[in-house]
Amino acid sequence: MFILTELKDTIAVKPSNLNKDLLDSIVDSINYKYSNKIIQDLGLALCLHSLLDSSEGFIQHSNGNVYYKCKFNLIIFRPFVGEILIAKVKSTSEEGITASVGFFDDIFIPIYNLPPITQYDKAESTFFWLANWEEDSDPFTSSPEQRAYIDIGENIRIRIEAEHFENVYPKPKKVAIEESEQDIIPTAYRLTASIDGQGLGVVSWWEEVEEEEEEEEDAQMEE
Amino acid sequence: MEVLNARVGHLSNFEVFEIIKELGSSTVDNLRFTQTEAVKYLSNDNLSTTKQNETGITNLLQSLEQFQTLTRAEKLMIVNLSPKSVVELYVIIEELEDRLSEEDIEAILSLVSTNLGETTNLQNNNNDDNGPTDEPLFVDEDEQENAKYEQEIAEQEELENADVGEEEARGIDEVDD
Repeated sequence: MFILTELKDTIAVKPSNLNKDLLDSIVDSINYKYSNKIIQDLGLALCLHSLLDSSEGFIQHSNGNVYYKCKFNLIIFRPFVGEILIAKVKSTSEEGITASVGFFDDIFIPIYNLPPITQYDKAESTFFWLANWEEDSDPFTSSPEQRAYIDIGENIRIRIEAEHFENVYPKPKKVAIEESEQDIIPTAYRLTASIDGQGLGVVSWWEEVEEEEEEEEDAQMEE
Repeated sequence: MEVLNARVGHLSNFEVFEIIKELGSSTVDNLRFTQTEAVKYLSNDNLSTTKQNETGITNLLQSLEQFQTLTRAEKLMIVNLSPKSVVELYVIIEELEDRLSEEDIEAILSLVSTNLGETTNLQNNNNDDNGPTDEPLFVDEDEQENAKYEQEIAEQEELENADVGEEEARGIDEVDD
C-alpha cells in the first residue's frame, strides 16, 4: 500500500521559515511542497520519511528564499495491482461505486467489477447483492431481507485491478470558466478496483458467514 | 525534481502509522490533512495496525519463512490485514488450496493471531504502563481557536458592559457636581 521513493530536488526555504532550526525548516519545506500531492507515475505523496543529504544553502538575487539541493525519501501511497485493501464506500452511482481510504478518494469500482448478481436499486440509490440467487429469476423480485445492500460508509475489502496516471495541465482562466460545466477535470492518479470474488466486498458479509459456519459446527459437535 | 529510485521498498501500514504519529502536529496544512486522515484510516477496526508492534511483526515474518510458496507481497498483505479467518487468507493468497495444505493454513492463522493479535498487545501494555493511552494524537487546533475566539468575545462584551457602567457612574458624578 505504501512505498518509499528516493528523490532529488532543490528545496526553497522561505524567509519566514528561517528563524526555525535549519533541519526543521528544510523538513517543513519538503512537506509543504510534496505532502498530499500526486507525483506523475509515482503515486500520492504522504510525507517525508527521511532526509538523506543536503547541500549548503544558496541565495539567488531575485528573492529571499534559501535553496538547498536535497536527497530524501518520501512515503508514497501506491498500492500494487492485485493488492487487497480495506476501504470505505464514499458514493454510489449507476456506473459503479467510489471507495475512499480517507486521504485518497479516487478508487472506482465499475459495475462489471461487482459480484455477479448485483443490481442498482434506484429508490435507495445503492447497489445490493443477492447471495445464493437463481440466475434465471428477476433480481428485483427479491425481498428486502434477501438483499445485501452496499451502503455509503461501509467498510469494503477491495482488490486493486488497475492504476491510471494522467497528465493534468492547468487551463487558461477564461477557457476554464467556459468549459467548467461540461468538462469533468480528470484526476492525475486514480485506481480501478474490484469486489468480485470470495472474501471481497462488504467486510461484514464474510464475518456473518463465518459465524454461521461456526454455529453449525458447534451444533454438529453437540450432536 | 528527479526520481532517483522509484521504489526503495514497501512500507507496512504499521511503519507508516508509527512515522506519522512521531511527526506530531504540523504547521503545514496539507501534511496535517494527510496525517489526520491516515491515522483515522489506519485506526480502522478492521485493520489491526494499532495493535501491532515491532517484535510481533519480526517474529511473524521469521516464522512465515517456513512456507516457501508465499511471495513477499503476500507476506506484506498478511502483516497489513492480519487475516483472522480462512476467507480473508483466501483473498490474500492466490490459489490458496493448491499451494498450502489445511494444516499450513491453520498454522498461518494461528501465527497471525499470536503475533499481531490482542494477546501481544496485552503483554506490551503490561510492559510499559506509563505510556500515554487516552491522549488524543492530534489536538484539533480549529476547536482551540474557536474556544479562544469565544473567550475573546466574552471578554469584549464584559469590557463593553464595564464601559457602560463607568460612563453611567461618571454621569451620576457629573450630575452630582
